[in-house]
Amino acid sequence: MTDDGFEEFLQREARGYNAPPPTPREEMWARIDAERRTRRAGREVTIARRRVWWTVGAGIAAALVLGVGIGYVWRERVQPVRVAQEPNPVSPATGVTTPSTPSVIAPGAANTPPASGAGRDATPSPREERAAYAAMTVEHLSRAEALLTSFRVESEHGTVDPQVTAWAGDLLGTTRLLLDSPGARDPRLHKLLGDLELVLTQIAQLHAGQGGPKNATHDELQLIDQSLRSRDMLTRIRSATPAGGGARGALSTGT
Amino acid sequence: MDERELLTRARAGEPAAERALYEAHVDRVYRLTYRLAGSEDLAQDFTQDTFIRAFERLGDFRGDSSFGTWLHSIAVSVSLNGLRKVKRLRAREADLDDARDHGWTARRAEPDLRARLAQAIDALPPGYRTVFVMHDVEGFTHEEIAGTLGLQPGTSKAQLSRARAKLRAALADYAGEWTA
Repeated sequence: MTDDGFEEFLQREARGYNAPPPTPREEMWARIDAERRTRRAGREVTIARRRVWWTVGAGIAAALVLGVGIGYVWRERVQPVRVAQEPNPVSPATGVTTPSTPSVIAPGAANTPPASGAGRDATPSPREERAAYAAMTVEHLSRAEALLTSFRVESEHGTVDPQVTAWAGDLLGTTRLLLDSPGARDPRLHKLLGDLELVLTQIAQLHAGQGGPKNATHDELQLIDQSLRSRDMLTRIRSATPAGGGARGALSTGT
Repeated sequence: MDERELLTRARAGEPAAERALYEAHVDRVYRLTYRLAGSEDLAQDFTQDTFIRAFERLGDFRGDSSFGTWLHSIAVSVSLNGLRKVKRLRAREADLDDARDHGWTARRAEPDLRARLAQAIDALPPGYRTVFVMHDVEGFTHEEIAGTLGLQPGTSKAQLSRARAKLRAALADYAGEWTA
């Protein structure tokens, strides 16, 4: 390789390749030092910021833990230790059960009647839901009874007041709601509400007919009256709604 | 104070120890970066960056090699990365110049042998060029080059041989003038 002197040429001439000037030591050190100081300051700011966030975060976490702890202890103190369910009383005459209120015994209050609502869950129990549904149904059927009675009296005179048909329209909506409710599982009640819906629809549509309910034809009124009688509506409603409007009669919440 | 003690103090953040390490190594680092960059501004930037990185990562230096070798490996890495960026930038500028000089047909003057050699070294692949510059230009041993670049000394020798062969081929037109 050296026979033609190329390597000697390289060693001689390559030293001149990008020949550096004297090193600017101070100039470069000043820049290095300045850059290091800037970075160090930036790091300290970052660390300080992180420390602040950690402190704030730790404070929030501590407050949360304390709050949950207090809530837990408080709940433990007010929560009933025993819920005693008394059997539903059965009416000897009708054989119908009535809803009962569970006895709640709170710590430190054993054998004493609880304060109203104290320590009880806000969510109603299925039994309470059934009782509420029965009360609503009884109230609705009472109104329907009143409406149907009014209708029969007026239809005997051959005219129906528009207010009666409007009233029927209102009751129609409630009837549909009660039918759609999970509480309408009782077949007897379901059938009663279904028949009531049909009759109420017939009455409500009198208003929509040409000339309004005052001009309803005798045949129309006869048809509705026949529907009422054939379905024995008023009797069935009365048997389902005892005098006084209590949630008894045909409606049983214990089933 | 020996270098080991300086390193311990520098790791503890003592500015005087950092300065002493800088003074001990800056010349060789600057020469190497200048040879690779061929520009005073770039060489200064690369040297500064090398020392800043070295001081920040001093905790990573385990002492498997000498501090100088470790510092040179940072310097080569910084320089090659920096040159890659500069090359991309210059390529864009060259595209613009080409567009501007479109139609220019004047014949450039034929460079002399020394200038042609510099061009040929510039045109070497980065790996060959680095080994060539370190060995034939800056006088590093193959062991030092191997330690700096993370190669086997044999690989360093092979790369130097290929670099020289490429230069010979690039300068073939000047055969016979080498002995002059």
